[in-house]
Amino acid sequence: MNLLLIVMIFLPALGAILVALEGSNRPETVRKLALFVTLATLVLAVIVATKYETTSPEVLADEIMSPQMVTRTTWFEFERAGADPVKIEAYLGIDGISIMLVVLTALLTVSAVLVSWTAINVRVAEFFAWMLILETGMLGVFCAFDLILFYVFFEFTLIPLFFIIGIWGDTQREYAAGKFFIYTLTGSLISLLGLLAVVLTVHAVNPAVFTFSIPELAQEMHRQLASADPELLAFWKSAQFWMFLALFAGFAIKVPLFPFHTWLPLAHVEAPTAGSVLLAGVLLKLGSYGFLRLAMPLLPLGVVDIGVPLVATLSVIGILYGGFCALSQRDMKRLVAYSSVSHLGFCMLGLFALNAEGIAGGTLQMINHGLSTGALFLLVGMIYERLHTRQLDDMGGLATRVPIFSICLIFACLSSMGLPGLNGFVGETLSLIGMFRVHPGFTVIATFGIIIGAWYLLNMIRLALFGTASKKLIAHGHVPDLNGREIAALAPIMALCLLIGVFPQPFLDVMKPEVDALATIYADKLSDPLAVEATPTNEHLAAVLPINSREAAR
Amino acid sequence: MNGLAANMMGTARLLVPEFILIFAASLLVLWACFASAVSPEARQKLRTKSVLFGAITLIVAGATYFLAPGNVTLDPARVAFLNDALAQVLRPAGFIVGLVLLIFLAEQLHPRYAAEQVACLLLLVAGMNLVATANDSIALFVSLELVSIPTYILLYLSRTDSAGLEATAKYFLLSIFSSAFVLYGLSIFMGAAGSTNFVWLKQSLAEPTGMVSVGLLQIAVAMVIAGLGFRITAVPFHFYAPDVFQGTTTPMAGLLAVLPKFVGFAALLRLVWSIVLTKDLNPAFAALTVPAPEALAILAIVTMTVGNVLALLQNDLRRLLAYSSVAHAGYMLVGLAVLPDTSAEFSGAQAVLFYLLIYAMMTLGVFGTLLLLKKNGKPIETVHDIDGIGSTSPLLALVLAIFLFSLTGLPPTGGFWGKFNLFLAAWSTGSSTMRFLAFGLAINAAIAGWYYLRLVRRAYLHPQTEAVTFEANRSPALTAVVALGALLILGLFFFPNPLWQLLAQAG
Repeated sequence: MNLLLIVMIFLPALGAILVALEGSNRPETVRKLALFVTLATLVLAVIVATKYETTSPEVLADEIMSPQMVTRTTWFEFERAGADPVKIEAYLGIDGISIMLVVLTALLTVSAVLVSWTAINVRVAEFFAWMLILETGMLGVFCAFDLILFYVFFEFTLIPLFFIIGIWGDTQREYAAGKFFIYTLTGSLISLLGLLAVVLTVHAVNPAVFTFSIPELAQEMHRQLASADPELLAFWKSAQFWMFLALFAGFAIKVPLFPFHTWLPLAHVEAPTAGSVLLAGVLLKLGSYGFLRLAMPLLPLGVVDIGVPLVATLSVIGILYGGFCALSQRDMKRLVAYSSVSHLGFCMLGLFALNAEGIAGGTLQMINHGLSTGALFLLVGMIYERLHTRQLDDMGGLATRVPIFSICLIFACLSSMGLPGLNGFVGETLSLIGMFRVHPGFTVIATFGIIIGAWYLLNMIRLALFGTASKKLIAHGHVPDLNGREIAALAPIMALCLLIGVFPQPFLDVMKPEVDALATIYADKLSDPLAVEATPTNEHLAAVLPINSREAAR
Repeated sequence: MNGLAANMMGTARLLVPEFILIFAASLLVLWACFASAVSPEARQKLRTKSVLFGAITLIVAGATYFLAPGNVTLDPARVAFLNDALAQVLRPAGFIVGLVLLIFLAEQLHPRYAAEQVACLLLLVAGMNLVATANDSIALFVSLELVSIPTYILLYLSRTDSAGLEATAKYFLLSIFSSAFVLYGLSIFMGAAGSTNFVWLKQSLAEPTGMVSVGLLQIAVAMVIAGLGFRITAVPFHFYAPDVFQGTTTPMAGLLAVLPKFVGFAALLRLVWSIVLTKDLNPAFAALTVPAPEALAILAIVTMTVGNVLALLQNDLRRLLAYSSVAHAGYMLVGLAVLPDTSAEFSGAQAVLFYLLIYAMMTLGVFGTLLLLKKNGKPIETVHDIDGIGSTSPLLALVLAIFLFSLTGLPPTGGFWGKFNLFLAAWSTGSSTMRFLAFGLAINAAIAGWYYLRLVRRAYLHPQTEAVTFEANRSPALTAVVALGALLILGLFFFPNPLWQLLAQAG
C-alpha cells in the first residue's frame, strides 16, 4: 500500500467532486480551486519523482518489469473449481518509463487549467470537473500494472474528453466528439479481447499461471518463449500474430497511426484549447504507451513478425503524409494537429526499432511531443482568444505586435522541428539511429519528414509572425501581448524543453534499466547486423550528442 | 405415502411468499369491485390505497421469504417446485424488481382500474418467482402462463387508445403462439421421459430407451427455445417488441424490458441449459443434435446485431430501448452458449445471471429517469425530448448518463463487469466459435455505443430547442429508486465481488 501514489492519482477526482459541488455561480472560486488541485497534484507527482529510485539493473536481470511504490489489492476474484481463485487486482505502481509521463501529465494539466481561465465562460464548474476527472484517468493509466486496471483507465479517459470536446468545442463539436468516442471505443474493445486472449493463452500453456498482473505475465511469457519446444514456439508465433493485431486495433487508433488518424485533426480543431493540449500532450501517448507497456513485453514474437513491418511502414507513411497535410493547412490548429500525426510517427519508429537506442528515443519522444505540441496548442489557443481566428492569412506581422508571444511560438516550433539543443532533437535522433541499425530503409525515408517538419513550421512562423499585417489584423487594432498567467502556463514547459535538450542524460538514465530490459528481450530475436551489444552506452550517445561527450569525458 | 406427504408439505411451505402474493392479489381485485370510484377524490384514494397495499404485500412476501425456515430437504425427483441455488438468486430479485415496477406503475395508473393493475403486477411477480423454482414441465408451463396473462391485462389497462390496443393485441397473439410452442416442446419431453419431473427427464435423456426418436427430441428443443426466445426477445422472435414498447406507457415498457427476460432466462437455464444440452446424454442424441453451442452462438450474434443496428435508426425513445433490450438478450445468450460441460473455467450461467441482474438495474434506471422527466406535463416520448437536460436538470442528466454508459459497458459502471464476464466465459472455452462470438460481442458493444452516446449527446450537447419546461416529477419513491440504482451501478464497478459470490452456487 503506497498512499502517496494513490493520493496523487485520486486527488484530482476528489477535486472534481468539490468543483462540481461548488457550481458555476462563482466561476472565480471554481477556477482557483481547480488550479489549486492541479498544482497540488503536480507537487505530489514531483515528490513521487524525487522519491523514485532508478531501478537497479540487477533486479531487472531476473524480471522484465519491477514497479515501485506498489499497491496491490484484490478487486474482482473469480473462484474456480479445483484451483486457486483468479484475481483481478488494483495493482498500482510506477517505473522508469511511466514516471516521466506522470510528471508530464500533472504539468500539462496545470497549464491546461491556466489557459482555460478566461477562455471557458459557460458551465465553468462542469468544465473543470471533467478536466480533473480526466487527469485521474490519465495518471491511472500510467500507474496501472494490472491488465484490466490499465484497460479500465484507458477506456475511462474517453468519457471526460468526450464531454470536454462536445460541450465546449467549436462549431462541429458534436460530430467531432462522437467520432472520437466511437472510433476509440471500437478499437479498445478489440484490444480488450486481445488482452484477454493473452491472459487465457498463457494460462492454457501453463495451467499453474492465471494472472492479470502485467509484470507477472511478461515474466511468464518470457519463460515460455525461452523453452526449446519448437511446437510451443510455433504455436505462440501464430497466436501472437493475432493477439498483436487485436492490441494494435486499440493502440494504433489512439496513437494515431495512418490510416486510423482521421478522427484526430477533427477532434483537435474542434476541442477547446485545454482539450487539445491534453489530447496531444497526454492522451495520444496512451497509444504509444500501450505498445510499450503491453505489446512489447507481452508479445515479442508478434511484435517481431507483424508489429515491426506493419507499424514501421505505417509510421513512415504517417510521417510523410502528416507532414504534407500540415504543409497545406492554413488553419494553425489544424496544422499543429497534422504535425502530431507526423511526430508520433518518429516516436513509434523509435519504439519499434526494438533496440535500446530506439526505445529510449521513442519514449523520450513521447515526452518531447507532449511538451512541444502541448506548447504549440497553448499558443494557438492564446492567439485565437485575441484574434478570434486561427487562419494564417488573417495574421502576419504579429512579431512586432506581440513580441513575447512570437518568441514563445518560435521557441516551440524550433523544439518541435528538432533543433539541436532542444528536446526534439534528442528524441528524434535516437529514434532514427535505433531504426537505422535494423531497418535503414525506413530511416532514410523518415528523415525527409524532419525536413518537411521544418518547412511547415517555419512557414507557419513566416505567415503568422512576419511579413505585412493582414487587413483583418489591422482592422482588429491593438492586440495585447501574453499576460502573466499565460506566461506561467508556458514557462515550465519551455524550460523543460531546454533542459531535456541540453541535459538529456538524467532523463535517459531514469528509464535506462527498463529500456535495457525490453531491448534484451529482443536482442536474440532480431537480426541486427550492426549490433555489437544490446544496450546503449554513453559512447553511443556521445557520438550523437556533442554535449554529452563532455560529460562522458568527465 | 409419508414421503409424498412430506414433499407436498415442504413444497407448500416453500411457496408461502408466492401464495401471499396471489392471495393478496385476489383480495385486491375483490375489494376493488366494491370500492367506490365515482368522484375524483375517491379514485385518487383508490389509487393510493392500491399502491400502498401492493407495496406492503411485496414487502411482507419478501420478508417471509427471508424469515421462513429454509432448507426444507425435498426429494428433487418428486417435487414440482424446488428452492435451489438458482431460485435463491432469482426469487429475492423478483420481489425487489416487483417493488421497483410498482413504483414505476404508480406514476401512470389507470384512473378507474388501479387496483386491478396492482393486482396483476403482484401475480406477475408470483409467476416469475414460480418459474425460477419450477422443477416440473407442467409447473413450468403454468408459471409461465401466470406471467403472461396478467401482462395482457396490464398492457390493456395501461393505455386504452388505439396504439395501446394494437400493442396489446400484438403481444397477446404472439404470446399465445409462443406458449403453444413451449407446450408442444414440453409434451414431447414428457413423452420421452415418461414423467414431467425434470430429474426424470434428465435421467431418461441419458439412458437410451428407444421410445422417442432423436429427431423428435431435437424438434422439442428447438420449440422450447423458440417459445422462450419470444420472451427474451431473441431474433427472429423479437418483432413485437418495438411496436409494443412504443404503443404502451413508459412504466409498462420498463416492465416488458425486464420481467420477461428474467422469466425467459430462468426457464432457459433451468430446462434447456442444465438438462437438455449437457453432454451426459444419450450418445445417440448428443451425436445427432445440431451442435448446440454453435446454434446458440448464431442465435446470440444475430440477436445482438439486429437489435443494435435497428436501434441506430430509432427516434422514439421506447422503440430505441426495445431494440436495445433485444441486443442485450443477444449478449446474455453468449453466456448461455457456454455450455456447462465445456472446458470453460468460468461458468457461462454465472455470467448470464450477473448480467441479468445488472441489466435489470440499468434498464430500470433508464426508464425510471425518463419517468422522472416531464415535458410540458407530458411524458417523454422521443429522443429530441431530452435535448439539453444536461443544463436544466444536471443531476438527472448525470444519472441518465451513468445508466447509458453502463448499458454501453464502459467503466466505471457495473455494465463493464457484466460484459467482461461474458467475454471471459466465451474466450475461456477455447473453441473458435466462441472466440468469434466474443469478437462479435465487442463489435456490437461499439455499435451500441453509438446510439447510447446519441442520447447522452442530446442530453448534454444540444441546447433546448423550444421553450420546453422540464419539471422533475416530484415522486420521492421514484427519485430514491433511481438514485439508488445509479449508486448501485457505480458501486458494483468498484465492488463486484459480493454479487459475483452470491451467484457462485447458482451458476
